Amino acid sequence: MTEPLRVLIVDDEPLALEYMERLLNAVDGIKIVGRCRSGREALLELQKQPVDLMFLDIQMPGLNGLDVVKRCQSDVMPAVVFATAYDEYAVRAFDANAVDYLLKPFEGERVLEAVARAKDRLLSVALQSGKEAAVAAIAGLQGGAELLGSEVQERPTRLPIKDGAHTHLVELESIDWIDAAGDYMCVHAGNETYILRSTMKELEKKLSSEFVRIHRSTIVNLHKVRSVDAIPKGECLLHLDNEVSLKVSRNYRSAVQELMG
Amino acid sequence: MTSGLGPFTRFFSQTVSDSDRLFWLLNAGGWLSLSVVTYVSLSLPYNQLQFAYIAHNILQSLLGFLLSIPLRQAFKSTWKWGAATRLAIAISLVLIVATVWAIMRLQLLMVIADEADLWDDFGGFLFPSLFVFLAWVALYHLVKYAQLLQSERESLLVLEAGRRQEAFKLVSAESAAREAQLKLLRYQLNPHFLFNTLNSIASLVSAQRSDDAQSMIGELSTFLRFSLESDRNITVPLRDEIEALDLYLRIEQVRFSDRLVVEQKIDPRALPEHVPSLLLQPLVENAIKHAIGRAEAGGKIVVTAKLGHQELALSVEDSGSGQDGGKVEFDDLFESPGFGLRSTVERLENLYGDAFSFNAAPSTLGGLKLALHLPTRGGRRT
Repeated sequence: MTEPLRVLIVDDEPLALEYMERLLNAVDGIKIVGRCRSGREALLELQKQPVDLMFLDIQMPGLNGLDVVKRCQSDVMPAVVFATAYDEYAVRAFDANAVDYLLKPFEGERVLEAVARAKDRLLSVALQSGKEAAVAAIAGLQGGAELLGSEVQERPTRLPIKDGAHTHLVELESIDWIDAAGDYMCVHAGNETYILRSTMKELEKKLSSEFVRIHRSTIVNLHKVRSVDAIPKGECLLHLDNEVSLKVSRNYRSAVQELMG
Repeated sequence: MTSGLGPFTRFFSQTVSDSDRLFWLLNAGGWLSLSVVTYVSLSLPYNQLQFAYIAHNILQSLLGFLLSIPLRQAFKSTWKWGAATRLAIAISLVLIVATVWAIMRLQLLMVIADEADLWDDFGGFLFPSLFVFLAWVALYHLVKYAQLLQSERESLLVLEAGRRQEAFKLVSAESAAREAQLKLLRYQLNPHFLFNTLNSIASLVSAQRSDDAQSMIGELSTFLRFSLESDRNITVPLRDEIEALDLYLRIEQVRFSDRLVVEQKIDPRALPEHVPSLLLQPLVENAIKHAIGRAEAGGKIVVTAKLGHQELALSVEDSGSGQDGGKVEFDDLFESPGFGLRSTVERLENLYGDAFSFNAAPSTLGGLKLALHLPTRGGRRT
């Protein structure tokens, strides 16, 4: 037998959280490893332990479900099943990007189906990270931005991100970290997350030397790292401002080694 | 426009009224015709074609023209007087002006045409003069009264148009009210609220908390019935309104549990006062959505009702989202459809005209304070 699926449930309403837990308890082959009542809790939980599948409510105080996806490090992002009471636009975007979602009130049958679908998806190696499809859906909702070519600049200090007619000039030193999700890159700067259509290679060329790779899909600005924790399996955890934590994989550990002197 | 005309014409058309222009036109035309008639009926048949006679003909018309100017002034200034007085004035003026004109014409003819003494023939000069000025006065009054009639008809038309405009305004106000009702109904049956509540009920059922589930279903039904049945234009006692609000809040309390704290400060004297039905619920729903729904630690909502002098003061305040430090885009508040305040304002306008006030201000709790002042039955206009 295969290992049970590790599931995290995120919902701000206690009754909804309990209900989902009760419905999932009736499903075979899964193990509920955590319940979170806010998006922030969920982000912390995802760094603490590996999760395969997350049931994520969209309407939550503080960070909502879409924010959680945007801010979650691509390398630890599980497959996501969104939960929503009524959100026709989001539902349309999820449909288009084959992201699973549940409508409230939940139904046992439908939950079973969502778990089965997630299992299939996790078995197929095609999916890099759970973030890929979800970010594509969010980009569909909000419109993905593009990186402006600025080859002329010798040593760029800003990243020009073109979003429709609007161009954000993001100061490189304001960027905390960046992660890749399929065709999209998420640039996290302060409380903003810019989703842009780009590849890791393309973006890396525009970055200065303080940006280093710490995981297959994650780049961090070393200046923003406040503390480092060693965790099992030779990995470690970087803590940034705004309560952001990022996992460093064993393969990239050397990049942060010099931080610790 | 007059842009292509000379400066004089422009001045004339700007400073002289339409009726003035008509007078000068008709007066000049009349005297000119008199000259033409005189030429055709006297000069030609009597073969008086010398320059002197033609000059006399033109000059006497000019004199008549000049004499008619004070005549008009006299009629104008006595226009509002009694009919008999005006008739007497008209007759005397015709006699005087005709006499003066006859003398002038006679004298002029003697000078220009070098005629011998014509004074014996004075009667022959006076008689047509009288007719000319009688005709002038008659024409003057005819035109004047025609103008009066015309302007009266126009003002009647304007009045009628105004009446139609009023009727149209009334109809469009009614349709705006109906539209506001529909919007409000849709807003009341907020799908988020409905589906989230159904999810909570499903949760209670699955936990076999049947009593809790039962009471939540009861509350939801009563609330929905109240939303559907209440007539938007009808006011209900504040007591009923608070009751409906409590139903709604009890449901939200189950959903948000410890995160939602509600405090009500209701002056018991205000309870019998009438308010539009389901006025407070959308405001409280807004507060929950923007404060509790966004602040992770939850928040507090305070509803107050106070009875003042001929007015009922209601307010809904919240502790804010905690994200933006209580900063609210006040400009968007009443306009943005998402906030749902626009429809509340429209309803209040329909019910109270401008005898109410509805303001938003930062609350001391950290969020937003919506304050409503409604006229009480004692202070209402109808």
